[in-house]
Order: sequence, then structure tokens, then C-alpha cells
Amino acid sequence: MYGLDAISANNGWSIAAVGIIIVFSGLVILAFVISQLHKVLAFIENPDRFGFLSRKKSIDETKESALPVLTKKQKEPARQLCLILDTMEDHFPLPKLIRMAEVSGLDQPYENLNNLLDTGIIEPDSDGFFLLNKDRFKKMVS
Amino acid sequence: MEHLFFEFFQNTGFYLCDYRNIIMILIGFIFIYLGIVKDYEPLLLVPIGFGMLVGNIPIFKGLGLGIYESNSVLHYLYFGVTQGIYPPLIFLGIGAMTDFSTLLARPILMLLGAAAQTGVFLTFLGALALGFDPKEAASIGIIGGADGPTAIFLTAKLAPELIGPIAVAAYSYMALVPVIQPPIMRLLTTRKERLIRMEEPRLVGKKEKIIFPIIAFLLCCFLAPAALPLLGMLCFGNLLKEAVVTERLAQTARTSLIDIATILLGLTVGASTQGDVFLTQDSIKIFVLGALSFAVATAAGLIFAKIMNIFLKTKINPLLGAAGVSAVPDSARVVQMVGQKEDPSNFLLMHAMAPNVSGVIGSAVAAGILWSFMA
Repeated sequence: MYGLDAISANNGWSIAAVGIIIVFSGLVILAFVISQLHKVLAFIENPDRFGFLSRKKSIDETKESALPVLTKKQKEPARQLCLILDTMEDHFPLPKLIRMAEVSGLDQPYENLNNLLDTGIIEPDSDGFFLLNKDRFKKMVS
Repeated sequence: MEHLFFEFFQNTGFYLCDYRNIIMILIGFIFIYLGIVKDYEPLLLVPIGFGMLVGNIPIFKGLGLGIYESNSVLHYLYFGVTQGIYPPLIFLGIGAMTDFSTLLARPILMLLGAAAQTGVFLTFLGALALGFDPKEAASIGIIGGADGPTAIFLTAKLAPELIGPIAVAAYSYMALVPVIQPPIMRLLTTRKERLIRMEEPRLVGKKEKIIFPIIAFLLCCFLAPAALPLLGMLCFGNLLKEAVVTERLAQTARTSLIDIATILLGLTVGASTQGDVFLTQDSIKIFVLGALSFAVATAAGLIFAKIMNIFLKTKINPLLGAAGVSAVPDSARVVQMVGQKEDPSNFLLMHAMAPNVSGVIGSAVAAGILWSFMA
């Protein structure tokens, strides 16, 4: 048998059509997968770059993560300063706190106060006074 | 005493020779000439050409000398062809020397390799129309994949009696790619299209290059499990190369191992092309179909590239479609050559390697699909 009859008799048209479709489909899928591969690898290595999937940090959280932390040695003087602050008003002037720390016999009051300012446990208000951030104190010192 | 001389003479090649031996020996000379003097695929044509000389020395059958005699050395070496051992080993070496980064940088070019495999299936139809049975037609069709090891592998499984003419046709046309492809490329593309410059590809990371052979192997073999021996070795070889820690193994695969397999494959395939088997009407049909398959595969790749350009914002040079014919790296070099004739500063070679290596994967998948249909 020859010609188109031979092709039809041997199911040639179907074999050719299905074969081309399968080869094409396979390579299309492979091309799609490898086109996404570098994006998947980039995501695995650096998920923070992909903002829509990472937890959105608040400005405060961002600020907080940038603040230094107290060492063990610095925590005890910080507790003592805060005990002094419990006897003062909520909004206080810094010179008064230093005077009271010196009177109480606290070691190195300026340095310890500086630590509280750096860590944000004592923060300025908008009127030129300062106040104690109790949440931050609990987190960092307790 | 005269009687002894005459008996001796009756066992010589001069007495046993017929015209078919002479013709095949002359064809062997031509292959060796093309390989050594013209530098057409010498690593293939020289072993095949010399194998033709070996296989067509007229011998007295029964002495265990011929390749088809079960107790001969050549027959044992030919076992690697008939059982499909050498082609996967060659693919291991090919994987260990192939850089898939241009393909990874622009995966859409993989479709050009897929389009070129149309030549396989259209040639399959042509072979059926010429009276070949389906298994023979599938073996002839795979010539269009332009991949020698794949063609030999599939033929060994489906139609081992045609290994000789199919291998000779496949490797001959692979060597003639610089002659076959350019006229088709110029016919099917305009000058404006040939002048298109490709965008610089992105840099591909090491992890991508390592993960790709694993993913490609799993995906393609889940789709066409019959492609396992060829694709498995190709991807394994590539993984050895990209992993760096296995550089020693990759080095062996792409040097000694592939060379040993190529020598034995070429020599035994050439030796299998004996006159009485090779010089038949079927061989002439196979040669004609082989030439057509290369032409159709080239045309299919070019036309598909032009179709892609209808939908793409950034156009690709349609000449890259011709590189979907997986004669690596010759068809990529032909693309470079034709492109540079129009614009000497247009470097298409690295871009053409993407469809070129994708064609290797595509032809292995096509072979797996044909094997699974015919088995």
C-alpha cells in the first residue's frame, strides 16, 4: 500500500498529530517552568524583597528593630533609674532626673541615662520634657 | 600444489568480491575524504567511512569475521549499537559539554526546538506513504531530529535492519547542514528579518543551571518515559558539569567516554553497511526522505519563529528557527554565518545555541514518543 491510503491504514495522521502535540506541550511546560525558576530562587533567597508576601512592618516596629539593646550590666542601673522615675511626674525634665539619680547614689548616672535615651525607654515628648515608655521598658529590661 | 594455490585464491577477497563491495568501499573512501580533507564532521565520517571499508571486505562466511556473524569481534562491538548502549553514553558526554545558560536566559526559544521536530513526524508520514511499515517509518522519521545517537537508538529498537542506511543518512545530512540549510533560510526570511538583532540575555545563576537538568529530566520523562535512556544521560551529564564538585566525572564523560563510544559506534555502524543490505531501493528512499526531513525541520523552525514574532513585543531573529534542528553546534554556526552575511556585526551564535540544545531535548522526547507508540 502506498500514498495517503497507507498513511490512513497505519493511523499515521493521528500518530503524527498526537506526537507533535505532546512534544510541543512538553517543551512549552518546560519553558514555562524554567522561565519561573529564577524568580522562585530569588524569592527563596530573599523573601523580604517580595513585599506582598512578607509581613508589613509598622513604622514603630521598624524603628524599634533599629534601636540598640541593653546588656545585662546595663539593665540593673536602668531598673534603678526607673524606680526613681516612679516618684516623679509622667512628663519630667532630664536635669531633675540626673539630680535625683546623683542624690540616690546611682553609679554613672549620665551614662545610664544615655543608655535609656538610646534604647528609647526614655523618649522626648513634644513639649521639651521626657517620658518613660513603659512597654519598651518591660520588653528590654524585664 | 596448484590445487592448494587455487584453494587459497578462492578464499581471498579478490575472488569473493562483487560489484556491491566495490561500490560500498568507494562510498567509504568518499566519507573519509569528506571527513579528513573537507573537515565535514570528521569525528563521525572518518570512523563510519573506515567502518564501511571494514564491513565490505569480501570474506568467507563462517570464519567468525563479519559483523553479522555471532562469534566475531565486530559482532560483540556491534552489540552496543543493537542494544542501544552507545547512544546514551554519547548523550552523557553531550550533556557534560553543553551549556544551557542561553536557553535558561530566554526559555521561549525552546519552542523553536519543538517546532523543528515537526520534521520528524512529517517525514514519518512520508515514509508511510512510500510503503514502509510504521516501525520503519518511525525510524526514518527520526532522521529529521538531526541527532545521530537518537536516530541510531530508536532504529536499534524499532527497525534494526535499517540501522546502516539510517545512520549513514543521518550523519551525512548532519555533515551537510551548512549546504542544506542556508538556501531554505534565505527563501523563507526577508532581509529585514535577517537583520533583527537579539536582546542581550540575562545572566543565569549557578543554582538555575544545577536545578535545570533535574527538572528537565523529571518533566520530560514523566511525559515520555521511553525517552529515559537518552534524556536521563543527557541531564545527568549536564548535572555533573554544572555541579562543579563532580568536574572529574564530567571531564571523563565529555572526553574519553564520548570518544570511545563515538569510535565504536561509528566503526560498527559503518561496518554494518554491507552492500547486500545497503544497496537497495529502500536505502535510496531513506536517503531521499532524510534530505526532505532536514529541509522540513529547518522550514518548520523558521516559519514558527515568524509566527512567534506576530505575538512578541521584542522580535526574535527568525533565522534562529533553523537552529532548532539539533545538529549541535553546526546549525547554530550556520545561523551565525547567514546572519553575518547581512550584517557582519550581528552575532547570533550564542542566541542560536538556545534552540539548538532545545532541539536535542525535543528530538529525544520525539524518539521516546515514537517508541512508546510503536512498542
